[in-house]
Order: sequence, then structure tokens, then C-alpha cells
Amino acid sequence: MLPDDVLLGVRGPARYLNGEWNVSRPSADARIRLALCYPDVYQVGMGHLGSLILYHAASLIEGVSVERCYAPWPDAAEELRRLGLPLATLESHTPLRDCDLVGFTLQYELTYPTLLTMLSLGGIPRRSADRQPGAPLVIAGGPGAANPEPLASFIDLFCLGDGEELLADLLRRLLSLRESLGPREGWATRDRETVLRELASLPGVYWPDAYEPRLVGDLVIPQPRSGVPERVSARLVENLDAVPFPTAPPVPWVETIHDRGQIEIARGCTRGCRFCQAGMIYRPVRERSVEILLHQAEELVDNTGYDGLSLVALNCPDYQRIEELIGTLQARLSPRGVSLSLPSLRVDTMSVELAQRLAETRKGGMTFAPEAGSQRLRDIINKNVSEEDLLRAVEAACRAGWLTVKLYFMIGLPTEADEDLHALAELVHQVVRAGCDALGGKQRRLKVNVSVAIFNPKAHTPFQWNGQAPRAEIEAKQELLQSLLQSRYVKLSVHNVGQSCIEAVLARGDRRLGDVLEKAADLGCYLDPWTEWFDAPRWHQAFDGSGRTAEEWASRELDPATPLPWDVIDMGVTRDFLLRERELALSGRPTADCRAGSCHACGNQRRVRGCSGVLPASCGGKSK
Amino acid sequence: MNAPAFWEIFVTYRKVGRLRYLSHLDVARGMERALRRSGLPIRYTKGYNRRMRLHFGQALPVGAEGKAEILGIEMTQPLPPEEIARRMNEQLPPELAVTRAWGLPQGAASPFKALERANYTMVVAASPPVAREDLTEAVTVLLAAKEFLLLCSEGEGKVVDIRPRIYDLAVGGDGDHLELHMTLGHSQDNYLNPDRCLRALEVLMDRSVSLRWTRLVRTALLSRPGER
Repeated sequence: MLPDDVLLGVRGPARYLNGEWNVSRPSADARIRLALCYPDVYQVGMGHLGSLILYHAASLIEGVSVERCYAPWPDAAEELRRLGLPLATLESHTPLRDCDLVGFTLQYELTYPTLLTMLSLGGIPRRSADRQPGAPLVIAGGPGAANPEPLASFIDLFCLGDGEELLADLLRRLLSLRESLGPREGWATRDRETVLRELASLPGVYWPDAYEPRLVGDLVIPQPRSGVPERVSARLVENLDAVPFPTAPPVPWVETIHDRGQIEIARGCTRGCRFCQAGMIYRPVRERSVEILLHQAEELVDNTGYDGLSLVALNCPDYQRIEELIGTLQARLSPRGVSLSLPSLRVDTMSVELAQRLAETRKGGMTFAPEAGSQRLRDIINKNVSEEDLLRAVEAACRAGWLTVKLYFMIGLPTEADEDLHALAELVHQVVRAGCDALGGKQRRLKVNVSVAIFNPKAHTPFQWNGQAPRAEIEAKQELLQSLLQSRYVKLSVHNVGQSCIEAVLARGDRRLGDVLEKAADLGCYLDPWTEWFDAPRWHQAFDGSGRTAEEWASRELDPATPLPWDVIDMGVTRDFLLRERELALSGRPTADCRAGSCHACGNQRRVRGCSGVLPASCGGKSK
Repeated sequence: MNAPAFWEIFVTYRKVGRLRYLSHLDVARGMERALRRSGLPIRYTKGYNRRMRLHFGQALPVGAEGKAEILGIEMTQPLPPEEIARRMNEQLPPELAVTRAWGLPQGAASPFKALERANYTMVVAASPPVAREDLTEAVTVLLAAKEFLLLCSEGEGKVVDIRPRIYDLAVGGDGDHLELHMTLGHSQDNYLNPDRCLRALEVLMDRSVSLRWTRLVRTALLSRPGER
């Protein structure tokens, strides 16, 4: 904890306090101290369900003290530097450098410089090569690990795919290593490489130092040295009912971004949107059973006292027994003043009907994500939503009492032309008309908030070979939309071009970008997801000497005939499938959801016997 | 006779130790969650966005401790105050514990309405350092004044005469350790933030002196004489 006189002077001091409700005192005789780090501030990190799941999974292992660490706000980071204090865990105030294992979650590429700075603040050499025996092992997982290469020089081991079982395996292996190596001193002097080799033999662990970076064509490709696999396969939890879930998570004192309880009803999505990384790398769909979810929901409310509960999935309405789940949850929780919310809805009337039952969300507005304006473009990205679907859903929402409709679009999609943007604007105007008609006398209160993101090609998607549209093009598109969406009902917000560009560079970057990241961190890039801290000129400077500007890196088209830096990672979907999807995209042909019956051989049939796109919950059976 | 629709009970709680860094909203959220965990029969507002019917007093600044803060809770069933305090404390850390719970006698005014003054102890840091005599001198001048107009930053340039809101003010501590003991107005229309009092002293001392508190404790809330 920061000293008192410092806490009094920094913004939001309560986020640096330890011991929220449900946090147990760290045991003094733990044999392994794990620091789970989130490379952003507390309020963001504590809202991340995945981190809470890992925190819980690790806490179940005897002999492990699992602790958390978040990025301090810049004022507090400055105080740490000024006072020469190391960044430490919340629970036991152990400096990161004194932990055994330091793990980061990679949710967003723009957090990477923050990760490096957290290592420095915690007293750990940023580069793996500079870590001496006794220094902590630095691991990382999450969607960012699907292309680990930009961070390969800094992370000792990457954890691929579903993390809860993998982290537990890793901790158990470390515990037994410690057993055989004796007390901490023995650990410290032990050859670091032996420990890494031992852990890297676990399925789902990628050890970047064991792969030699070689320039192939225009890309740096990691090549296996001896004794490591050609490719590392991501872990997959087939049965969600069988893995631990946190029903007594720490209850923050300060307000966090998802300041409510969360239960994970399903993982993965097979709709097959071609831009969506999550929809590609978390296949197939795994559902948790209604019975277990009901139990978890009640335990969660009992243990936390939250006044809201979110049902978490990439696509909530696709959950097979969603109606039953919501009906029962509402009957049980609403008398206790607990509201339900479904953060991810489809564009259809069923979604509106579901949301209608959760009246609480009406204030926040009804959100739909058509992603692209023209049917042509929606076919290309495989977003199987028609204009009619959208208009009907909007109509239903406004009839049901919603006054605010939020629409999410992307621009800069492959093959996008001005006609597509005109179609986008026309679609928005149709939404306005549909909303006005449905609202009748209340039409003046209608608000249509249009949020326009920038397409960001990601690894392990059919668009991984595409470049991001250059800045000037994106800005012209944004301006065109501004001029086409002049309406008293419409509020347009567009994403920051500079941030999107850096995200794109890192998402498809290779190992050379490590130097850029290090330089960016040295120049002071920190908390870059925060528009107020994102500093474009610093980033420009960071790319000096990398041979290209950020924009040039981001807009590179890659050759489908040559290897990619992330080919070493097997996330379940194969390169063949992605290539086929790419071809289908370019010819404007959609691919149906494989749960409808036809297997598209995406690659998961290799690892899931009899895969039909969805693995239903193990319990099965209807509840009373 | 019909049973009342709800029962209002009051609890005295503290906000001390490391939890002094909580904001007023953090405390309110934390209390609400603790009450939901406790399973006590709390009364909710009607409508879509149902909230617990809780009544908090004047906010304590972030970083300030409170030894005896008051919270009003509307309940749907009567329960013995001791049980309420016990069940709340099972769900609260010691730094935010309930020290007393009580119901109001029939027809009695809300304790919030009866509040008149609050006592504070403040540890003061000055830069550059000031002599105890200079601070005492400023206190004497402030207490001797008939009125003291202070521009309050919030309230859009509102000028407030803070003097009638200062019931007592004294310098304490010893040596270099400077303390201020304050009794300040705490009713709805006569409230004074202890920070304002410090600003007034700053004005009365050398203009180049800046005063800040390094510790602030609201030690007691006091009702008008004759009311509890």
C-alpha cells in the first residue's frame, strides 16, 4: 500500500487498498506467490470476469497465495518512482519482483506498454533474457496470446486458450518442482531454463525463447529449436460445469466498469462473423447448465450483495435454455432487489423480447450491432443480419418502451466503398423512421446513437491477411458519415484513428515490434486505452528505426502463400478453414452457423469428438 | 390499529483505518451490499430501478475518518436493534462497523433533523511551516470576528458568512504537531465543511502559507440541546 501522505494526494486512493469483502488474508507459509496482473487500472481489471475466474481457480490450490496487481493511475505511478517504492500486490504488498509467478492477461493490444511499465515498476527486468535466476517467471494469456510475437521478448511463457485448468496445471507443476528443488534459495539458484522447459511441456504453453525468430519473406517467423513442438495447441475446457467458477469474488469498494455480479452462461460463438477473433478462437460453444447457473447466481448474490447480475456470453440469446434461465433467475432475484442484464444481444425480435423482460435495461438503451451498412458487406463479413431483421427489432424495442437505440458499425472493412457508407447512413435513417413510427407521439424523444469503430484485422480470423485501411481513408470515411448522418435524432461517435492503428500493428505484429514496444514504454506510453493518455506523437517516435511507420505496419497486406508469425499457435481453427472463409468472403458468400447442422471443418472437429458446434451442459434435463 | 408500512431504524457506524479513503458513494454502495448480504428485511423503492431506502448524513471527505456516523434504514419488519447491528457487523469489516442501532420513539423527529453541530479533530500541515503562535493568533482573530465572508468554490461564486457556523475552534497538539479542534455547524442550513475553516485560517495568516490536513476525524455528531 502507498504511504498515507501519498494516498491523500492521489486520485481515487480507495483503489489501492487491500482487503475488499471476500478477500482472505494471504497465507504466510504459501510456497508459491502468484501475482495476477491486469495491465490497466483497478476499475477496469476488477470488471474482467476472466481474471476473477483465474483468481478463483488459483486460490483453490493449496500452497499458492494468489494476489492481484493493477496499473496505478499515472499520479500514483509517479509517486512510486519518486519514493523508490516497487509496484506490489494488493493482498500482501509483495513487490512483483519477489513473487514466484507474475501473470498478465492480454485483453487488448493497447495495454502492452502498460504491461512493460508494470514490470519495471515492480522491479522485474522487462526482457526475459535479462532476468536472473530467482527473478519471477512472467506468464501471459488471454486473446492477445493468439499472436504472442510482439510480446515474445518480455514474456517467459504464454498460456493459450481457456485458462482455468491450464493455470492450475502450471501451479501444480511449479509446486512439485519446488518440492524437488527445496526451499526458495534452491529455487532461486536453479537454472531458469530447466524450470521453463519443464513448464513448457504442459499442453497449451508456448515458450517463445525456444523458437528462433527468422526472417521469412517480410515477416519474422518463430522456428522451433530442438525439443519443442512445431505448433502449440490452445487449451479447451469442454465441460464448463466441471470447472471452478467464482461465486465469492472480491467486492470492490470503488465503482468498477461492470459493477455487478457476473455469471458465465456460455463460452464461444459459432455464428462465424469473419472479423471477430473471439468467435474464431473460442470454438466450439460450451454451455453451462441451467441448474448450475441458478445455483451460482444465488451464491453470488448471497456472497457479494450485488444489486445486479450480468449473464455473460459472446451471444446470450443463443444459449439454448435462455428463456427458462431468465424466467427462473428473475423470479428468484427480483424480490431481493437484484436486476438482470444481458450485455450481448442479437439483432432480432427474440432478443428484444428477452430484454423486455429485464425492464431495468430500458434506461440504458437497446443495442444492436449490424456492423456493416450494406447487405453486400454484411455478406462479406458473414454478419447474417438483414435490414428487415434490424428494422423489426428496432420497432419492437421502441414499442416496448425504449427511447434510445444504439447501433454499432465498423468502417474500413475489406472491399468497402462509398456506396456501403451511403447504405450505412440510409440504414440509420430507416432506423430513425421505424423508431419514430413505433413511438408515435413520443417520437421526439427518440435517440439513435451510432457508434462507428474501425475494422481491425486480427490473427486467426479469415481477415488476418488484410491490412487496415490507411488513416487518410478512414478519416475520409468518418467525414462522409458525419455529413450523411445529420439528423436531430442521430448522435454519431467514431473511434480514435491513432489508437486503432496501434492496435492493428500489434494484433498482426511480429517479434520485431518488441523493440517498438520497449521504446514506447521508455517514452512514457502508458494506459494507452485511455484517450486522455494516448499520445500519438510519442508512438510516432517509438516507430522510428523500425523501418516503417505505424500506419505502414498496420496497412500491410500479407501473402496467404507465406507463413505467418502466429502460425506457431493453434487456436483450434485451421489456416485452411480461414483461407476458405477468406475466399467465400471475397465472393460475398455467407457461411451458416454450424449449429444448424453442417460442419464446415473449421478445425475443431480435430479436437472435439463429434463436434456439432455446441457442447451442451453436462447436467442436461429440464429443471422443475 | 394498522401496523405501520415500514419501520425506520438508525445505526451509528464508523469509517476508520484504511477505509477512511472510501468516498461517500463507496460507503453507500458498501453498506447497501452488506445489507443485501445480511438478508435483513430492507424496504425498497418502487419501480424499475429498485433501490434500498437508506438515508445517509453529510458526506465525509475521502481520507477523513468518522467515529460516529448515522445511517437511517427503512425496514419492512420490526427487528430488535441489537440483532440488526449484529447481522450488519457480520457483513462489515471492523473499519466500517456498526456501533449502535436504535429505533425512534413514536412521533420523535428524525435524528438527522435534530443534528446541530459536529466535532472534528484535524492534524494540520503547513508549508512553509508555521509557528504554533501564528496559528493560534489566526484562530483568535477568526473567533473574535463578527462575520467572516468566504467565497465557496462550489455554488458558483457564492459568498458565505462562515463565522456563525463555527461554534468552537482551538489549537491543540504539542511541539511541531499542530492540531485543530473544531465544532462546526452540521444542520441542513448551517453546515460547514472543516476544509472551509482551514481556508479561512489560511486567509488570516500569511497569504503564502498553505494549510492542509493530514488527518481528519469527525469525532461526534451533536444534536440540539433537548433532543437526542
